[in-house]
Amino acid sequence: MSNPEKKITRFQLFIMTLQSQIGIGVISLPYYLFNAAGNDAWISVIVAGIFVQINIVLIWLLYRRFPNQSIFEVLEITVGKYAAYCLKTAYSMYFFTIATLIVLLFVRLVNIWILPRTPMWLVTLIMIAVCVYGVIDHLRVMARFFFLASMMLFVLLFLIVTVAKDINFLAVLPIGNSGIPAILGGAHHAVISFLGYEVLLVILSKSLGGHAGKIKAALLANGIVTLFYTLLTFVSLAYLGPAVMRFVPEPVLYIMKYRTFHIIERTDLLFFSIWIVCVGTSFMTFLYLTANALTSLLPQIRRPTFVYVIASLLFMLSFFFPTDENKVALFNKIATYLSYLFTIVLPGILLFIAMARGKSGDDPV
Amino acid sequence: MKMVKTSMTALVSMTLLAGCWDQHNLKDVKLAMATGFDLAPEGNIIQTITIPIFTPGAGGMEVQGSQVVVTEGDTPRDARNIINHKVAEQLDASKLLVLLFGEEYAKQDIYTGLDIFYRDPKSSLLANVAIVHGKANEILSLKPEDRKTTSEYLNDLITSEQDTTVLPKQSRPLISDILDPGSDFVLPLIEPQKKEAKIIGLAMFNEHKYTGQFIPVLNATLYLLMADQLAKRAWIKLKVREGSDVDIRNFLMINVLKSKRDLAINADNIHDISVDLSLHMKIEIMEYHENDLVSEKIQALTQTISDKLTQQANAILQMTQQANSDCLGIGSYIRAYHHATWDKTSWEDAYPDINFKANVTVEISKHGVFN
Repeated sequence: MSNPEKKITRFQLFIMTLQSQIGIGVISLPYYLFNAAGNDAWISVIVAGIFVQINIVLIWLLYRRFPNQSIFEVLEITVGKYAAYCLKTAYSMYFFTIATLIVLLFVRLVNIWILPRTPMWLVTLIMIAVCVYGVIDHLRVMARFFFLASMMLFVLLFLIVTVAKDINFLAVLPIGNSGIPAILGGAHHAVISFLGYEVLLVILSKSLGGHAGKIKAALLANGIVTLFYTLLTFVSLAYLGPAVMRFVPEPVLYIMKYRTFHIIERTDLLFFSIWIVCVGTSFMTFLYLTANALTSLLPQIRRPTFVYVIASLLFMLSFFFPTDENKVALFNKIATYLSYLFTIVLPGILLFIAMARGKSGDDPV
Repeated sequence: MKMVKTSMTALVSMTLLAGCWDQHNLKDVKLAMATGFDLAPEGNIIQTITIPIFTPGAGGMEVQGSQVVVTEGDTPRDARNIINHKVAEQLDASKLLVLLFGEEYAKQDIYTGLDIFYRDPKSSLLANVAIVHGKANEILSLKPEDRKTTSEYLNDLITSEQDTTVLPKQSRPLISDILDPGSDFVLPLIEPQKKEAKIIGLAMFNEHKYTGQFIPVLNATLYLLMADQLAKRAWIKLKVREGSDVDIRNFLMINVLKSKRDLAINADNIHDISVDLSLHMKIEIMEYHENDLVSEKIQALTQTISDKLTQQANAILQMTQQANSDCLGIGSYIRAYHHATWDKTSWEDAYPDINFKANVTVEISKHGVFN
């Protein structure tokens, strides 16, 4: 690499994983899960969380074989130049798809909840512009910003806990009533909210510390995300009750509407504003990943250039964002399946090939 | 040069951040603070809205009474639209304090009046909802003497009675109770009088509809204790003796300090569901005209109070069963703990026939500073 990046610390690795994961899913997760798994939606979150933990271990195993290479370099070593070229293109498109999905869901929610008359492209522009600024510099700068943003999680947590005192436990009983297929189906819907840990494919090799420390940081981050999401789902479900959950696509914001403090009447807006930062960090991650994938394709072009190109492309796409619920749901579905392919299947195959052909990070490209 | 560049960027950003499309200026709206729905004889609705009138005063804007607008429409949204044709600015219900339903309207379906509030992200969901014994219009046209606006008066009336365990506090959204097949709910029932409004009880609902029957205000506190909703204080008046020469001496006033409710539900058989509600309370004597409360007498009194309260509690249960309003949410317990039975029953048909008993025990722990 012509421009070797400064490495991030282990704590920053933890924060980056955490902030990449918590994002767009926060608001709507309980709704989608409830539709799939009913009262047991919160169990689905735990199942999905465990599933992601396993996935993280898989990514880590691949990394341990190639401690100094990101996924893109691993591709070159294991499958050869031409196949790697195709796969890198595929990866960059995948990351771009998720980035688009994040912006799309975000803009749609802003449009429904707070700024119904502001044109969507403008909201997109504001979001993208801020995030581009965060991504053009090196990784460590991004990690520092993520750390600052992670402070906001405490506020979100506090707001959710204030609701928790009024919940009705009867709403979630009897536990396990939906049956295992429904719970697994719910877990499938939950995966999209956990997305963001793909960042490990790239940043594990760009961080300091030993192998064991890194996996601990990554697993801890995902563990916290799982707990956070479980709490969120549980509280929404037990507060609103199963009869209402069906009708409220953004349950987390909805319950915030019922909370008022002496100086804050619209708590949902406060929650929303803080949540925007979390969406921003997730989006930055995927912007970074897309740019990174493209840089590995065309090493002669610098990463910031790609960031600008991707951002402009996304902005132009925002004029064609669908507002129709079915199309958004379809997009969601495609993204979920793509994520299975790119975060489990492909790394799994790569690991298998590497083991079968005895390749490791010391081998020449 | 760098300075110029930075300030240019800042200026451009400022125009982007202002959000001019979505500004809501107070000067462009009329704030509806209280609104009421009544059913017109032909089936369409009559909506009454009170809007506080602001006038510039010594310390900024002051409220000078309220403007009452009445209109007819096919739906609540339609009625609000028509009101917009009448009032000077656009109507905004995001600060709504009180929402009233006329008796006839509530008997038909209360959800139709709430839909617009649940659908609009801007609207306030915290409005106190109450049912009017008569017409909502009559209450909103009252001119209270101690408050500048009717909405403020009604809001304070309801919230103050919530603290004294007379009216239920809605800690979770009302819509959860409306839509939940496992529980019904009660709402305050208000009656218009000459100059003020008076709370006369708790209107019992069955799903979306007001049953027409209510728990009288005398029993409201005990009902709320049975629903496990003790607020800051709970005073109950009891008639503990008959035929004293001075009528006043027949009565006793207690305050409930602590209350613990237990439900024992037996629902293994669909046709034989029995529920035992036991309520244990620590009470304080607030007013009693027999002046020697020594220990033997206290024991006897404890027994009398327990018996009287048990009697009242059972009467309340009977009222709810007669009205077929499961306002204590027994259904949700059955759904949670006896799911097999729940799946096989139609709870709405089963509730009036369940074997529902209450038992109240009290413990006198204080009687003021006077024996």
